[in-house]
Amino acid sequence: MPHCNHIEKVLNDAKVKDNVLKTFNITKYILGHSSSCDKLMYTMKCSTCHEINAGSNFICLQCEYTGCWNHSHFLEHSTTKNHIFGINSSNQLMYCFKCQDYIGDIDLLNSSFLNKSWDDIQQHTDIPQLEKTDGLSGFVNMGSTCFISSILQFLIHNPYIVNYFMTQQHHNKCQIKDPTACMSCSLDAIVADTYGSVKNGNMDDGFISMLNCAWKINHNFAGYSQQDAHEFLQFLENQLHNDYKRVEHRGSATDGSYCKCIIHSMFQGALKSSIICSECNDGSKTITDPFMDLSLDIKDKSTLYECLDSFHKREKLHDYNYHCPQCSTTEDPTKQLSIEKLGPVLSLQLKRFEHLANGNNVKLTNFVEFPLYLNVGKYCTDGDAVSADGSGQSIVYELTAIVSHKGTVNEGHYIATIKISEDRWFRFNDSMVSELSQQQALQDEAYLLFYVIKQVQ
Amino acid sequence: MESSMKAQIQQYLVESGNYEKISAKLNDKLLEDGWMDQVRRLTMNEIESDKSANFASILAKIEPQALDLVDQKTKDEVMAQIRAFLDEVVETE
Repeated sequence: MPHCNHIEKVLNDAKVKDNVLKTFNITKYILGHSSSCDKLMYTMKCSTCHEINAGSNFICLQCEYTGCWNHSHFLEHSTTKNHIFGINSSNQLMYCFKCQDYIGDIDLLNSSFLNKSWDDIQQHTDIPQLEKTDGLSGFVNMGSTCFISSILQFLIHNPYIVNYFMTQQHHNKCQIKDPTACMSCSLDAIVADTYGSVKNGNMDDGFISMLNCAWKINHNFAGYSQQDAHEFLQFLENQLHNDYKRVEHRGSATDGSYCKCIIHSMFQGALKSSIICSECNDGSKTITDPFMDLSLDIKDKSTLYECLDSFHKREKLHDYNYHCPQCSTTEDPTKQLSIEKLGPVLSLQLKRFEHLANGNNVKLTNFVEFPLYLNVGKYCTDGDAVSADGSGQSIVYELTAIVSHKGTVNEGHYIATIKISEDRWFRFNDSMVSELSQQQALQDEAYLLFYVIKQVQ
Repeated sequence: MESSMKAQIQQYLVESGNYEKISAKLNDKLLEDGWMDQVRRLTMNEIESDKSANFASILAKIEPQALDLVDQKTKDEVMAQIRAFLDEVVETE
């Protein structure tokens, strides 16, 4: 989009610049903190025709007028009053009605809340290079490190993790500050290598430091021998959690509240295990347990929803010495697992590796279809499926990463398939990065699936 | 439909909380139908083909196609919801 000279002129005028940014900030603040009802009634209602949401609605930067798009009412306002800037009340972006375009390329506008410190910020920051903005780089295989690199690719492309390290939340407080001695520091270094300019040394420095650090903690996870990717994820999650406890000088929460470290904030949910008496419906033996991921049985299942349905379905519990505290019956109770709490990231493990009674390990290779958007609302209620009118909670998660395993139990290879910037999929195979279509991504023989919250209604 | 009548009906829809409900349901459907991804792809293609185009011109090209691409089933469901609400509030002669 071509540059807007009109706003440029305004921002270069010292007399009006601060006021303009202040007005913009206040408007954005109000839009961000209003109830949906207020937003609809006031910011999305056209001052001229009084219709709500007739296309987008724009709030005038210079007066109290708000005008709609569809009936060109703001356009009229802009020509009669010569007020050419409108703030879209849905997306908070500024539109120039002379250029007929949104203004997106002015950093000062995009970060208008930072106006006061702008000079200082310009001095101490670098704009990232265009070719590094998506973090499309692989990790050289240093032995059998694919189980590590595929997990890392998921993490360094996850917005919560990237934000955590970009805002230096670990770095600022860590006393060790050494990527070969602290796992969080090494992950921090990897994020910096991936997205930032590599000052001296190599792109691989961060990765090598992590292997070095992992070796000191647990030889198994240093990449000399193939390990299970899910176990590595759990190992890394544990390290990040412990590092948080160390830098924040916190012990484990004793009041039952949830840990606020980046890992628990992202992944932790809770499962309710309901045990209901089949005679009197007493549910006092119901317990709730936290979880960091869900492991799903895939035998004879062909879709992810089938696996989740099976996980959630109400069953009679046999071989369980039940004694009802209310009616004293010993009849088999019914059991049901339902989701009580969800983190913004939902990790699902498809149980592909089975340990048989005779000591052998076998891999289940059946293809399990998984959706781009996963609605887990129905798994958060008790009882059966959905209510008659199809209503009920809607909790939609978006698929962002797939870790797949190719090969046998003992000799296999892990690959990560990640969704980058809204709509493109990339395959990360050790040091090789290649683009693939959405169709192809959906055909992966998935082992681990990572969904991120998209919308809750 | 007369603009002021439409505005009145919308007012009632918002005040009763139904506007939000219907809008949220529609949003859900469009997401799960894959419509949002489709329209995004169309838009990206349009932008790629003419780097100097502005928002207004791109919208003019995309909007009719996007409206057309909405699943008929989704359109029908949302219309039914709106109709049901109107039957309750609007007096017909």
